[in-house]
Amino acid sequence: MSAAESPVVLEVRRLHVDIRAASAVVHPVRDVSFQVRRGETLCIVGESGCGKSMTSLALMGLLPRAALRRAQALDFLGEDLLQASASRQNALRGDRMAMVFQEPMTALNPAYTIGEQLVEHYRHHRGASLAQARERAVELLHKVGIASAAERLRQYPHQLSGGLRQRVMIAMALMCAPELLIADEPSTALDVTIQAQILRLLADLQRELGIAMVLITHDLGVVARIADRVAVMYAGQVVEEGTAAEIFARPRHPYTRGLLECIPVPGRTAPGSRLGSIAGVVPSLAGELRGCAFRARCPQAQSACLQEIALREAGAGRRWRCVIDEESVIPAQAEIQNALGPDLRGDKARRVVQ
Amino acid sequence: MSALLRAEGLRRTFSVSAGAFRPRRLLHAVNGVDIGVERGGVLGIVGESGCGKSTLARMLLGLTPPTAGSIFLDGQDVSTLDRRAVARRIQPVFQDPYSSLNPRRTVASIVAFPLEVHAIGGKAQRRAQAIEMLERVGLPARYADLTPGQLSGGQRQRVAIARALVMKPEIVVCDEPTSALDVSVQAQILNLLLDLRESFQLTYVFISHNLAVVEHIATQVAVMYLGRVVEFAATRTLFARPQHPYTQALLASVLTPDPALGIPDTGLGLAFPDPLHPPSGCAFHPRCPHRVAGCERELPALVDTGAGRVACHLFPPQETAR
Repeated sequence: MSAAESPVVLEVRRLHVDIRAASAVVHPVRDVSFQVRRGETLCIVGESGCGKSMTSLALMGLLPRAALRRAQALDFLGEDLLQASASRQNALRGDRMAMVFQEPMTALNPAYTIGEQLVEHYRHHRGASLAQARERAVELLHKVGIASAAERLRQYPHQLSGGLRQRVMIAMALMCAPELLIADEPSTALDVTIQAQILRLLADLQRELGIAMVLITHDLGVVARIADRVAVMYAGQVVEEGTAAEIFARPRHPYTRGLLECIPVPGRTAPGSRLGSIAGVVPSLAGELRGCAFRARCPQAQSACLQEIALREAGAGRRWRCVIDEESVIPAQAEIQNALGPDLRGDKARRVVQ
Repeated sequence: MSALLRAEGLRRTFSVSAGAFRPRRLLHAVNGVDIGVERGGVLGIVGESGCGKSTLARMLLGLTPPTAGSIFLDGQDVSTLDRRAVARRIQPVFQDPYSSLNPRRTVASIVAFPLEVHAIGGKAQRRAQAIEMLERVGLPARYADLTPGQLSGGQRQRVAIARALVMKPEIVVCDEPTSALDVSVQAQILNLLLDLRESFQLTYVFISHNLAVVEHIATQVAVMYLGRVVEFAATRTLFARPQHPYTQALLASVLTPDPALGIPDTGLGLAFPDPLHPPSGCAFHPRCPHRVAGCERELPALVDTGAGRVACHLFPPQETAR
């Protein structure tokens, strides 16, 4: 892939987010590192509470007031965002780096027309005239596949369907031709047929404009179809990272493996068969983490999991956080269940909540 | 073949305000639906938002009275039966376990509540029954006195399932039961539903927009579009050989976790039509890649093609078969 040699747009090293709560300090993001290159799509995947949205807000500098961001490095196009002043961050946000949110109805202002919202920040960042900004807005609405764009500019968000609203959000994010696009669950609130259209649009635009994209999602199907590289997050940490092909064909971390076995796949999982599931619940994010965060739910947990887990590397960009090195040592969960025998399997629903 | 639960010509119309001084408009949420499910079967209902699948579920549960048509339970018209007697036999599980459980009651009292409503047993006996059912769905007795706020999403959905099953119903109507849950929890709940179906000989009506989940759990699938069933077939047949262009597009939109495949082009056009102004003829015709002359004028009938029933002009009714 040519993206592998293209320049790094975003470099994140040892990012932490701490939230001071009443009784303890909560750590929704712990020691997250990754980089995104020009023309590359990095998917951050994980379940609710794994810190993926907090990571995206930390990158944009949009964290809630109570949350504190610290990192070893947060470089955007060679510029250190950690040192950037508030006004400098404001200048970058919406211009060089843009964001698409999950729910376009809440992200768009219901009291202003689409046109007013599209031109506002373009005029702010570029000092363009209203006519120039309008022209740019029409051009972008066409680009995201909205017909009769001039007419749409006069409409309010509630007059558009969910899919159209999300297209408007994408057009708005692209107004200033950003280098980095962060999309947080951009297709989750949409119907399946519309979801495919929106993802296709994002992928096409990303390729055409050479944007670096960070796409945050919980949906492994979306990840498989759109990602160049994948970072799997669990309890605030990136537990595995690699190319999409690697992650889906040879997952190294037991959590990634567990996630992949949880989803029914048409044509692959036998209808009515038991799906794999991950026993237990996500650990609390309060206080310091000792050892592997996944060990309480891990079928391969051992005493070494209580120690600090070193990040293992196999080639460029292929990393995982597990004491088990060899992929062949980790049997598929289905095989473990078979080895446990039918009695234990039948009792699984009960063990799951321990 | 006698269906345990059957809907015939079921319709539900809502009158919707179109603005302060404008006449109210009619929204045909469910517009003539005939479906049925046999004892022990799982009827999957799929479709996009606004297709009427939740209204259909509410009618089957007796929560929304139909505007026209009838629902038959074991051959008897439910409108002639006692409301409570029907409620004992058909129980719901809803999508959002955060809003479907009373946050101020304990888990045990939530699960025992249907028994209380139907005045079954004494207080202690009801609690014992509730705890037994909680254990059956994977929540040990120590959870009995917690409130929903102290539980995770998956645990709450287990409480909702226990509440549905404590009445020992024959049919459980699940409306998007796993949509609000994380994938690992979704798998636990699906496994549980499959287990319970076997041990209690349950019949499910399973409503979901997630086709992979429906393929996994359902024995028959009805595909809905703007208030009508456009295809109804055995699960295996429907997924192997989808006939209606809308079903084909829906199946093509499923993103299986296969990085070798790109993002599919559904070829469906941009907009989902406004249910208040449904297109004429076949409601799907403005988005249909295979439309022929007549699609915009005439409503296609649901015809038996030998591989399920399809409402599409590409499958004309066979006169000779009559």
